[in-house]
Amino acid sequence: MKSLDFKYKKMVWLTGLLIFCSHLNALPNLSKEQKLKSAYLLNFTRYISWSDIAKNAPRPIFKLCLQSSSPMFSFMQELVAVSDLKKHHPKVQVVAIEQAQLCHLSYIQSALSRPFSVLSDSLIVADSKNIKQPSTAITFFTEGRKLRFEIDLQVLQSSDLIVSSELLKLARIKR
Amino acid sequence: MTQANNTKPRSFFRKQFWLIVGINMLTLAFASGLLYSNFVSDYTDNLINITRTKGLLLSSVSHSALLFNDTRAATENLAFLKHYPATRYAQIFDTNHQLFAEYMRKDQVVLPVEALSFGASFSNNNMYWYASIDLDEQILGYILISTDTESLQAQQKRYALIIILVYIVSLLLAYILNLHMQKRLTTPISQLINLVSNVAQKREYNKRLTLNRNDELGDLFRGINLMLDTIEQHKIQLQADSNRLENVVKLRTKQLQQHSDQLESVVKIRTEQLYNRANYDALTQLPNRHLLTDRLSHGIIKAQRSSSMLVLMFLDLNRFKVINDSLGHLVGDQLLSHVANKLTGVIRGADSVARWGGDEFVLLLENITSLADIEKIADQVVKSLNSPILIDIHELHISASIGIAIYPQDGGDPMSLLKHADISMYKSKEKGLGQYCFFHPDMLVQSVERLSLENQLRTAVEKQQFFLVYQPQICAISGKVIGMEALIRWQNGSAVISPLVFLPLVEEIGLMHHITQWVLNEACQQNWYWQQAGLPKIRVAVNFPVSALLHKKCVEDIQNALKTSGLEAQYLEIEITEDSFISSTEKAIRVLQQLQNLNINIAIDDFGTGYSSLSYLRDLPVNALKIDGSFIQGLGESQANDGIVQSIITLGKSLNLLVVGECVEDQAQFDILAKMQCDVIQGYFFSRPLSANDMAGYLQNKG
Repeated sequence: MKSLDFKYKKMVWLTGLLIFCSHLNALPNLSKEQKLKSAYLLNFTRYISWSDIAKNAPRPIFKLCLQSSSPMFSFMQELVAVSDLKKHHPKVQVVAIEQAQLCHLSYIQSALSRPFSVLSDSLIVADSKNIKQPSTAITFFTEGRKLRFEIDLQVLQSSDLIVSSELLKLARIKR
Repeated sequence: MTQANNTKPRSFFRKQFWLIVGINMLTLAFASGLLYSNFVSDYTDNLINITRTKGLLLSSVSHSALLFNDTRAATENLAFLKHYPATRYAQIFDTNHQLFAEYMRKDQVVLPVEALSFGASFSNNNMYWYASIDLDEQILGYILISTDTESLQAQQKRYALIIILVYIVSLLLAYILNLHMQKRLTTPISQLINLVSNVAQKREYNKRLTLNRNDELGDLFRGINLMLDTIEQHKIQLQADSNRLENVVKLRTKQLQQHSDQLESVVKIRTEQLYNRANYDALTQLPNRHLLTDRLSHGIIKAQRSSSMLVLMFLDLNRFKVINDSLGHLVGDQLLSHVANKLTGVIRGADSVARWGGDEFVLLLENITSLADIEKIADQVVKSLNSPILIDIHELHISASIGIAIYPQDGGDPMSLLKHADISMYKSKEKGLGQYCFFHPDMLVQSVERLSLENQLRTAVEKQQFFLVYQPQICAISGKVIGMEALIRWQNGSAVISPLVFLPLVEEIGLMHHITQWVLNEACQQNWYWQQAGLPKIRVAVNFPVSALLHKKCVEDIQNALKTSGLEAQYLEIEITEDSFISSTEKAIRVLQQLQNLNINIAIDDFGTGYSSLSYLRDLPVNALKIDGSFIQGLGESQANDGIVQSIITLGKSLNLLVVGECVEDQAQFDILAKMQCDVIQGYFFSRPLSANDMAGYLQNKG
């Protein structure tokens, strides 16, 4: 009975998410690709473990840094707010790279004009291969009409991050 | 009933066996069904679990594909299901239930996902497992796996086959085990039943149950054996008792048989005795009245057939009563036996002689052809009985009066013949002693008259209709009255009836003693009156018939009469007849001697007509002889008669007895008697019998 209630709640939440996504999709300035990328960013947090996040803390904070000028910023904030329902995951905070003091994951859509110290310990995700950002671990690319991503194992191995094989199975591995 | 008996009884153990087998069948069927159901359920659960496991695994590995919208990766994940031939197809849907990835075997019918609910379900021999793909409490999509249930069905069939085989084997095993157990149980019980049947039917108690068991049956068998031991001992004891009892019974039976034989012999003797008593006279051994009547009936029938005569002689013994009363019944019985022998000796072989009762006998003569034959036999009878009979010291003289009736002329039936012969017998008595008389119809009238007279006579005795007359006795020499004879008369109405008529009847009806006593008392009293009146004292003679003389109280009665009247004994004379001596000389002499000792005179009346023996006469205690009137009537008519009278007178004189001539009616008779020196004359010549008054006058004038 409890399980049914849970599934019922989940169905309610899912329905709300779809409505919200529809609303998000309704934003004229954000493409579907950008929305997928936003979701992928959030999903990366599920398959990658950051060692500096205290697992035992009541609710650790995960810092997702985006370029503040990015159109995805607002969308991401709203998406994180929705996904924040999962209490057992670290609380994701979307912050602007320019203002961040700590970034666990940093998404950059364009080459940064200046170096940021917070990026040195951050997993850097590049919006495309066109962006030449050192220490980029994951890069989105489009294959056919499908959005995919590439993982640079050397970058990941040099960091303290632990990447799920599931994620590696889906990604194209850069060697 | 017969059918029920002929039907073999149903075995309890067989019923119990089939009941147990039936219960086993039901139990095994239930267990098999349960097992089958469990097997199928397990297999189904296992199938569901496997499918579920596959689904969960696929869900798990499809998270990333769904999260990163990687259909290819999801399809690759589903592709591993090709190693499971039972999997028909698998589908992954996104959260909008849009198909995201799919694995499909060939030619599979896809069920719309909307028709399914979460979890496992079955439809059209296919199983469906449908679930959401969750990650961190977030639904990423849905997965549907469909497998065919051929393996389940095959497994069900296999299970069913196994269960059936197990069921059959179990049932067979149960049957065999039950049969074995039943046999183990029934074998001793059968032994017990056979033993009990043997005991019940053949009564053999020597067999025992040999099975050694330490269970309840063992206890039962030991108990049965002990019981049989006891019964056998009892049987042996019973047999011994039975043998003893049988011996006792044999002994008793033998004794009983002996007693029965004795009893049978006694019964036979008693029967013969009863027959003899019923048909024969115990004293004379002659046929009695009953048998005579029977023979008479048969004789009449035979006479009817042969048209011959049948003669019935009714015989009555004269003087028997006197003899019987005077000499006792023993002598009387002996006399009857002698008479019976005499009669038996007289009759022919085909004739019968029977004792009718008392002193009466009946002779039945058959095949008689003429009256001469009857008269011949009657004469022989009379002659035979006229001869004296010597019994002890007594020489007895009897005679018989015989009445004769002839069939068919005198009667057509036994009773008529007997009645007519009886009447004839009385007629013959009137004729005198030793006479026989044939029946004549006129006798019937006389018989009636006689019967009437008998009744009148009884009335006369009651009413004292008798009176006495006295006939003087005159001394032949002096002409004086020296005595008188008292004679009884019967005043029957206006008629005076002669004693010759009624005295025989008085004797027959048994009133003689009574009347004689009355005459004695009356005569004594009258004589005493006359003497008291101054008339001459003379003797009065009273006739004493034989029965009165030989009566046991004769002397006592005479003494009482004298005492009552006051008359002296010398003035009483007792007149007796010769019959008194003929019947019983000894007794008569003894009585007469007693009377003479009392100074009473004794005279023999009607002397000369009887059968007195002269030797006895010599010793008789008598004082006078009265010559019978028949001799007096014949005086002067024949020398023989006169000689007899003279002889009597001479005899009397020689014996110093007074001789009386009676019935003297005329002078000639008186003269002859006087010439013959007869002492006393009595008769009409001097005086007829006079009344008491006339006699008194006569005494006064002539005394």
